[in-house]
Amino acid sequence: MIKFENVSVTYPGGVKALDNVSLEINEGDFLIIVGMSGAGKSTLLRTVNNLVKPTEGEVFVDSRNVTKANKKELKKIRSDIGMIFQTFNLVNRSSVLKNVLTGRLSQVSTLRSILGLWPNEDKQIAFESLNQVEILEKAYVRGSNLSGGQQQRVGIARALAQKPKVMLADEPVASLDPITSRVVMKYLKEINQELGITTIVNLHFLDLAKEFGERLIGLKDGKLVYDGKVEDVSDEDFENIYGRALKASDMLGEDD
Amino acid sequence: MINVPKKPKPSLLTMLGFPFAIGFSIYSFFQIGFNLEDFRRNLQNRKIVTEPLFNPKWEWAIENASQALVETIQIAILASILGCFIALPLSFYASRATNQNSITYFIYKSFLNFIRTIPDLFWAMLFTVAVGLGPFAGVLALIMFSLAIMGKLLSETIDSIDLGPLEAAKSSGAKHNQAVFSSALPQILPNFTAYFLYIFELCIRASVILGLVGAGGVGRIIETQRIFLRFDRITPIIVLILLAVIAIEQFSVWLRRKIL
Repeated sequence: MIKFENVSVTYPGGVKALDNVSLEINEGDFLIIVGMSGAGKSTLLRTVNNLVKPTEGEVFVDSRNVTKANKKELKKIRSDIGMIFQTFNLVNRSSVLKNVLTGRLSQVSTLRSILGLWPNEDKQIAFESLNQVEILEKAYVRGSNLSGGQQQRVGIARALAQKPKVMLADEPVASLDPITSRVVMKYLKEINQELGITTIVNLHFLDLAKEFGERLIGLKDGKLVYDGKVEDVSDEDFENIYGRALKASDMLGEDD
Repeated sequence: MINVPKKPKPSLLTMLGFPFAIGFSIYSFFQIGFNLEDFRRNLQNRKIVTEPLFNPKWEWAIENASQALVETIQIAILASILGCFIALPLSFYASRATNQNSITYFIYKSFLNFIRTIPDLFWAMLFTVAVGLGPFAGVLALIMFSLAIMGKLLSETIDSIDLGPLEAAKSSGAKHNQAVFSSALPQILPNFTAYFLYIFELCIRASVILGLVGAGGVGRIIETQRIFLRFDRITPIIVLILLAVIAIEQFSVWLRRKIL
């Protein structure tokens, strides 16, 4: 489904964020990426939809070459990839529904989207997406009037509205408290299982990774240093990924 | 004995700049010919101006100037609306946040800078030559005036928006214009409204002056009467303008509070 072939990313200024990563992700996987901040998790995620372009190597999604795609092909590929952000990235001044309809932009003409003449079908999809994360009743509330957890659920709904094949979640719970974090992870897991959407989540809390993940990969200084099942991963593996002994702050903690 | 650090010396800028600023001001004072003696001597002749000034001809002014005053306000409304809405899309091209193409960015930015460099009176003279004397030239001149100010203020506001929502829209495969419209525009709409009301006020005042060079409105009447030294007619016109400006500014303050 997703394939990385010897992918390296060097940012202007010489920082090597990814170092020769090769990886294959199967359809329907629920993959968790862990690593220290700066290990390249966000960069890896963003090469999947080419928000970050690899300096070397290639990325394939659904056997389409993302790295070499032209503008039009890239938009087509991106429309199949939903993305969720650490800081939610909602337009706070717009209603929840308008935010979710952003996920349908690739399916309508520029003129229609500017005039707000959304086809009923697209609105229906937006409502269904909101319903999936159980926040439909807030459809006409402004984004800024929601709590952090609610905003992230709108973020998920916006990604869902794309009817994506792949879902990328970049530290989706890093701005949330432990209870809401588990709620948001639960929705991501549900979506993965019910709709079969291949999901990649960046996390830095190890207990959350163990609780929700199936397959886990570890990044350290841009290199792939662990790839295996979550239930097989030991504290030694984590210490290897983190390059130091585990601390309490690596855990999200209990929610009750 | 505690160790008190030494007081730092004043910087070179304060040591040289401050005396220079004072010296230059004094020099300018004499260079310009600021002379209280002239002022006192000319006060002797004040009767030519002050006597008619305090003897206003209200009926004449209301009868002859009110239509021109309405024309002035119309010029300002039309020009600020057109200018600001032309500036709206241009500003997105003149901001780094929404235009990554260095070439078009440079072109739009330079275009806006160029328009801003030319004073509004000069635009008015240019357009009276191009389309003839009258309010249309005034509207065109003030469109350039509004466009220049809005383009500058708005493109700099766009520079500082939150780029997160734009990235979100792009990651879903949205076209650039769609992403800008859905995710950048809502962020700057409150600023746009505030700037628009401000520019509208500026246009009201500027449109009075434009008449002096023949670009329509009440300024033309003031200019004719001034040539004939009919200050008894000019006083009431100026009072009328003042009332209109105050009323419009109050309205704009009220509107701002309502919609922002």
